Amino acid sequence: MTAKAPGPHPPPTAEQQALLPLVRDEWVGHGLAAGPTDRAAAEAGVRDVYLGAGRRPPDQVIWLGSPMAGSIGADIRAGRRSLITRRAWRTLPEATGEAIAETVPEDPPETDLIMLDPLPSDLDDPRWGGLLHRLGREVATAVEKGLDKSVGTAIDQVAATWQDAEQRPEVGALPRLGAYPPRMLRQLAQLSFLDRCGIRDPDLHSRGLLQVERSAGAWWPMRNSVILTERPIELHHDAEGRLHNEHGPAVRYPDGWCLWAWHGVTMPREIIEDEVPIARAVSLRNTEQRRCAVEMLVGRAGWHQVVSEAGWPRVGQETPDPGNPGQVLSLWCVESLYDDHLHLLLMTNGTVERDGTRREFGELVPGWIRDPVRAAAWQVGLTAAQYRQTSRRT
Amino acid sequence: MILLSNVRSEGSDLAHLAAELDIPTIAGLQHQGDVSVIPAAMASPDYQPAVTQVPASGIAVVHGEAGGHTHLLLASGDVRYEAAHGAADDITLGSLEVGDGATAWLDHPEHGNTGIAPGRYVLRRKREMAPRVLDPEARRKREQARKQARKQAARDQAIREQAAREQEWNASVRFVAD
Repeated sequence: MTAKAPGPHPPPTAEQQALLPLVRDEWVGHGLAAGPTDRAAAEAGVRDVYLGAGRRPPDQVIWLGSPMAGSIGADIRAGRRSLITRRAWRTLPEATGEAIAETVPEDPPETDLIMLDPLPSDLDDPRWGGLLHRLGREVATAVEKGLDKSVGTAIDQVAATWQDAEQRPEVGALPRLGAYPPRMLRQLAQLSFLDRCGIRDPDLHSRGLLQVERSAGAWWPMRNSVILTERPIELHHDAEGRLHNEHGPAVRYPDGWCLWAWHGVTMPREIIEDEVPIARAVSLRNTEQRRCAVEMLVGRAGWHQVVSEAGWPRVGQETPDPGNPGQVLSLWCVESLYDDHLHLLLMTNGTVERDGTRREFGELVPGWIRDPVRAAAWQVGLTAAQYRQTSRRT
Repeated sequence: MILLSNVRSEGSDLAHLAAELDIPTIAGLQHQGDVSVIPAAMASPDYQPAVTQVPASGIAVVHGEAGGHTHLLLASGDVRYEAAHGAADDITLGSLEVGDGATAWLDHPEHGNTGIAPGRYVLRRKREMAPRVLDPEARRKREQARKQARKQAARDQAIREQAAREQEWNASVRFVAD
């Protein structure tokens, strides 16, 4: 360990504290970077990582186009080619799959990932601990929300499961190297901050780690070979920094691997890109995906179309809206949508919008209410009889 | 759309403008988007005497945030409003008293203006149920239960089909007579 000032450190100065947002933005930027990688810099970083850990740099440096390809590649290196699931291959275009199979050699098989061990990134000093902790947390949350969590889940979802292991014992016996590797952005941002503050110089190993993370995507360091992957070429977020794209993939990698997402929830491709029947979208098995699909369809087609095609049972009679001559209130049972005993009250706005249409609302009411007027009255804490006296609704 | 809230002036001007805009003044129950003006007789437990005079700049009954709009209470004459001191999730916003000869307006950029006739009112906000957020464990259990139900249904179907097939065989069986 090469600490500049041995022993207790002075408390952080105002200038050092002012560095924190800069370092945070820099590392969130690295974590969510899109565009081409700097292959030479990444390979130099890899060399430092191995040399700094007292290892021989890897003989084979393999570049692949996406984390999914990297995961498959790492599994091929581990001698698990026949155990890679069809689900995993199918997420990639056929040409990409063939290219991976050609690029990644199977022999000699790797047995494990090398251990990455950067310098400790805390100082055992409460005056620094708060700052470092905040920095690490902010970087990690922003990157997880904006990319890592969805990518990691997508990769781990297509891995061989225990059901596969029951049929083929090799699944459990051979090491699985293709799991999505933890990205260590938390520690690296903290190390980079300590370096910028002049408190602690990173050693060769840590410098290598910093450089790889600055110039490439996810990577799999093994004993004699390393798999490095490209960064996304397209990355779309919503205002809250979650993966989101209404019309196409939210993440696209240069080898054609894509993820589709609606406000942070990964969705099947056809729900986002194709005009799927509403009945199909509302019967997705995943609760979150189902809710998101309905939210999306309501934005596209409106509540009326969604309830009429979703096949949800109607509750009670359609009733004229007391405050809105000519409009009706209706109630629908949406238990299958929310897994909860809830009814949906559908109503139409009193005011005509600027484009000449009336805005429709669907709002949730408790499932014990079986009359639309009673439901509207419940929303403002009145009885149905009182609500019927409404003189105006806009 | 012309909004009263764009006119920053004394009450008399507001009344003038409201008359020109022909905003109907209503004494009964009315709803403006997610805010309801309820005559105090319908919601007497929530009514509390209103003391604070509504200033010329108006009172924001609901602050517009997260994509919503502000509902602004404007007054001409003796109009008093008292915000409820309830919790944030209380549906009652406050109490409104419009004195004789005075008028209050609720102003909203999307829903337009509504006029409120002299009387006592309770202002309430519309509520709705939030769908339950399932934690991963509960979701897993639920999905497992569904899977079991699907399997059970498939098994029952197979048993029924088998029974039907057997019945068919039985119908076409005859004894061998030799």
